[in-house]
Amino acid sequence: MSGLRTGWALPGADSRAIVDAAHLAERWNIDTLWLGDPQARLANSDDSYVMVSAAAAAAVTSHVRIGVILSGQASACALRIAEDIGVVDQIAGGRLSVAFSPSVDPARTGDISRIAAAPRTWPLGDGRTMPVTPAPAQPTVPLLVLQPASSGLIGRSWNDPAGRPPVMAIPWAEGTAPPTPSRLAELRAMAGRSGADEVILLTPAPAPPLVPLATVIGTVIAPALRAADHEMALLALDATRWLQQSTNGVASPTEILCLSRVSRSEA
Amino acid sequence: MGLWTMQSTYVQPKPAGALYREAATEARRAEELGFDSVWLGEHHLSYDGFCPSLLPAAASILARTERIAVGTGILVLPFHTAQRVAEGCAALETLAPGRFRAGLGLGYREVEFAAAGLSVAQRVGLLDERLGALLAPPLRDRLGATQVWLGTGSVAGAARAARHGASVLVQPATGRRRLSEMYGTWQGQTPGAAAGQPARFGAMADVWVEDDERQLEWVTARVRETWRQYSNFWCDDPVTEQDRREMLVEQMSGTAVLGSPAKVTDHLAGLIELGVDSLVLRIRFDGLDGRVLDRCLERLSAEVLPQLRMGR
Repeated sequence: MSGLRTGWALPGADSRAIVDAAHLAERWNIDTLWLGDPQARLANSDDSYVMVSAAAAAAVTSHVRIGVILSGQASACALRIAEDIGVVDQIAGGRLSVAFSPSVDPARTGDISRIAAAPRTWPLGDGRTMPVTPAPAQPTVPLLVLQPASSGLIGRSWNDPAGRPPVMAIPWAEGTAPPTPSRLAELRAMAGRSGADEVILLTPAPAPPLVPLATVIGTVIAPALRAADHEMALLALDATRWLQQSTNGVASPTEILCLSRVSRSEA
Repeated sequence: MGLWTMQSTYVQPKPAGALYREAATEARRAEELGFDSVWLGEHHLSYDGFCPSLLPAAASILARTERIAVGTGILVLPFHTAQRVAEGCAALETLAPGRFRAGLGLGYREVEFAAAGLSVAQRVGLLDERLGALLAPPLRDRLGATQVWLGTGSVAGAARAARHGASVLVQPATGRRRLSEMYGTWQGQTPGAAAGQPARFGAMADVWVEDDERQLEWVTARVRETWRQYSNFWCDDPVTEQDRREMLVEQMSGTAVLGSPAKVTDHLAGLIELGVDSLVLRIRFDGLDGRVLDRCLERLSAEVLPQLRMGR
């Protein structure tokens, strides 16, 4: 399957690491940066922590999509989370996606999704109805429900659970080593079997150093997932060779500057 | 410096996204001009998009600035669980260590309480309960160096802040006598430090620096219109309470200090003489933005703040 999008998730990462990753994801043309923990077990996966981090990531980027994985932990009621969705999508200029972890109570998922969808209103219980503002910048914020599947997790649209899943999330254990063409072909096949058009690589904290990880995802994995079937193997080899040359000292001054800036912030 | 509320009102409709971007840009400008902090206001379920989610909004400003602090003035604690606030503070503290001020308060707008399944009568109990939870283990550990402030206009509120070791942020339109009583009460109860920071006694004030009489008329009209709209929040039924609404407009806009640098300096120096050690100046009125706002910020920075910092 070609034309796949690439997502990068850092479950457990703190807000500073998220902002650094957002810069890198944008720099390396990764399609979506996902925040939060699908298993809702790691630190920093409370929905409020995730929404605050998402706002910071959105504020320092202009085109990478920002995905939030909501854990459903009871730190905020559905109305407050729906308001957060409106604010963060406005800050992001319409780049927000929302996924609910498998542990979220379906009733809560439904509550948040109904408020976040148009018309965004909230009943007071006495016949009056109030607008939930601000509305998101997007006419429809993508709302997904993550479900366990043989290939990892798949995300189905909340209002179309029987439809084609738009995302597939898998743990990424290879670290910063560029994957082989056969491994990339396997990824494409898994996505093809699930029907997803975005592959999210989960790199739980403590993740490998962000710069080399983002570089591998952006220069090797994402192009290989986008490429046509017959182009993929050669592209992956070329991209891996280019990456190895670049990291051996032949990167452009601009790239070195970018890498060193983020490396300092990691330190 | 405050209050940024991201409203798109009938006075000056704007896309919400532009307002959030402007807030960050104006915070950077305030930072350049030497202001210490910017503050954001919270309301819910309003046609104008008044910011309901202050912690994400604060994150977007902290991420785009280097030094200036960002505060909530105020976050209505009865509408948020203590865990939600603690988790948001934890994210902000990691993002910008020591630069977030958690200004917390009671709230008052009936429909917002109804939407949360609460009554206004529950607000004091909820504030105390949640403030206590926030400032005790395990949630306190999530706050890090976050300063905790309590927004209030009453002596009882100042006493509550002292009990919790919180800083105070006195609401605008609080009279000098009451402010003095609040300070005496707060100071007399020997405030500690809520999160490892020395407690402070701050006050909010509506100000605008302008010498030209015609410009001042224009500014005054916009301040009045800001309060006309805002006064709707204090009326159960603004349609049938027109007289009360107009009275509120007179009362609130009358407390704003609009005029020459000397006039504004005199007023603020008077607050400092009463014990105030931090000033949050509201200069973000409806329709007063862009170049006119920048000009006001510049004049405050150049002609008012130096006088106050030198103790005149």
